[in-house]
Amino acid sequence: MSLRATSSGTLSVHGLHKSYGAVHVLDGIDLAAAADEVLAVLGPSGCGKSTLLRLVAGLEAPDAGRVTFGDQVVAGPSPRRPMVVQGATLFPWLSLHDNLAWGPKATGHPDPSAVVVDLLEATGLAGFADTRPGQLSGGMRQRAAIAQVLANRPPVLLLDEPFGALDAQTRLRMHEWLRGLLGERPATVVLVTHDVEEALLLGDRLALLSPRPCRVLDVLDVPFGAERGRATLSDPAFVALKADVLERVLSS
Amino acid sequence: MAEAGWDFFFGQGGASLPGVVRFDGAAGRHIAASVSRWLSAFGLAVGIGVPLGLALGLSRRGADLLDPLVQGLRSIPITAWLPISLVWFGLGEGAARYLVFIGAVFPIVIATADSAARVPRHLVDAALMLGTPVRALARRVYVPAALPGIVTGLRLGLTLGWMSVIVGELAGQQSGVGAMMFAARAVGRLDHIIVGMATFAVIGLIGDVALRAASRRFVAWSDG
Repeated sequence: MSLRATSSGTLSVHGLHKSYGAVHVLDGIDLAAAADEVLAVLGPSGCGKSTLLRLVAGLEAPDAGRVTFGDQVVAGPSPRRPMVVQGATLFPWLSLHDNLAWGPKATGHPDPSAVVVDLLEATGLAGFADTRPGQLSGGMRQRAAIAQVLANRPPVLLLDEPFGALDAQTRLRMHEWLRGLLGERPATVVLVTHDVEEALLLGDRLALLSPRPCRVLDVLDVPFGAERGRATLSDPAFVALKADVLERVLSS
Repeated sequence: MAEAGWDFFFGQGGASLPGVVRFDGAAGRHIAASVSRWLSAFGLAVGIGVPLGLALGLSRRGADLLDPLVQGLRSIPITAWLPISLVWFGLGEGAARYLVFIGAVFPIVIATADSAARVPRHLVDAALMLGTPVRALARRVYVPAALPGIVTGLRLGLTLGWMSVIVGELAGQQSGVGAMMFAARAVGRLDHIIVGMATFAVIGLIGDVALRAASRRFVAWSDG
């Protein structure tokens, strides 16, 4: 916890441009997420959301602009800014225990196994320490992939369509689970998704992106409290906002 | 034929003429000589082929430089290496082992390079974002992720190495299954030749089964 106290800060992107050959993907993106805030980034498929997140993670460098966290400029991947993608980021040849222990071992934690036991408990995977990822269900795999990066207690968590491959019921359970988890272990989260419902259930604020070349159309506050779950889905205010946001995405 | 096989393994020696490689009861000696050539050269091929393959698979520049060389060299038939290995090593054990090494090393290099180059980028990214140092990526990510492909290369190399043993035994060996077969040809004993071929088949199969059994624990995850 002492690590977190000194490391939180605003995560910002300033004037980000990125092209691949002749394809102009990001066209001047400015966004910021305050400490321990969940920023949902919503845009049509193929608009460059994943590219944006890869730049924030430091896996790729922008053509112009910069990413900063606190007072530091992002220059490469770091265990303080891990990204979880759709599908598996787990190492298929290792047991769940060894997958979760990877981060603490790599960063020199004095007792990786204690961290793993804690996380398996928090993610409802306590009975599966010796199981390999290939033998887990899709929902368990995504929980485990998030647990794997949380083992390093990162101040920032980047989620790229983390639940996109799951069926609707499992996805809703995962949304509720993630909200609970972030309540216990706060982090600054950037969640990239094309699913309006997911963005509104998980985000504190919502950034709307245009089709490629990608620009920020609008950033709005999501006016629902911390207690969001399946009951929220039938809240008239939620239904109205969802329809409004969906209309703006479709007409952009 | 069965009688010849029985004689090869269990017969009492002493029947062979002076100057002719012994057959009766000499199975143990011939097999031990061939297997020792095979396994020592295969060990060397693994020791050189796997690191070389990793370097090729992980480095674009390494691949650009070495790939044409490897592809060219491996197009040379194993028998075509025989004259130069005799020039380099003379008639003897060195030439035989060198030929087995040549036979085994190329499939190992190519399978290792190919599977290392195919390791999914997202696994490498994941390791970096968990704090893994770049210098540890080869050992912690590329080798384990590529291991099923490497094992396939080892199986091919083991079999091709075994097939090269007989070429190595053309280089004037006094013992070895291949040496026995050439001696049998010189005296027109077709039954002995066929016993030799059957011996090659059985030992090659045993080698492959043993290698698969030894590697199963490490690659079981790739079976789904």
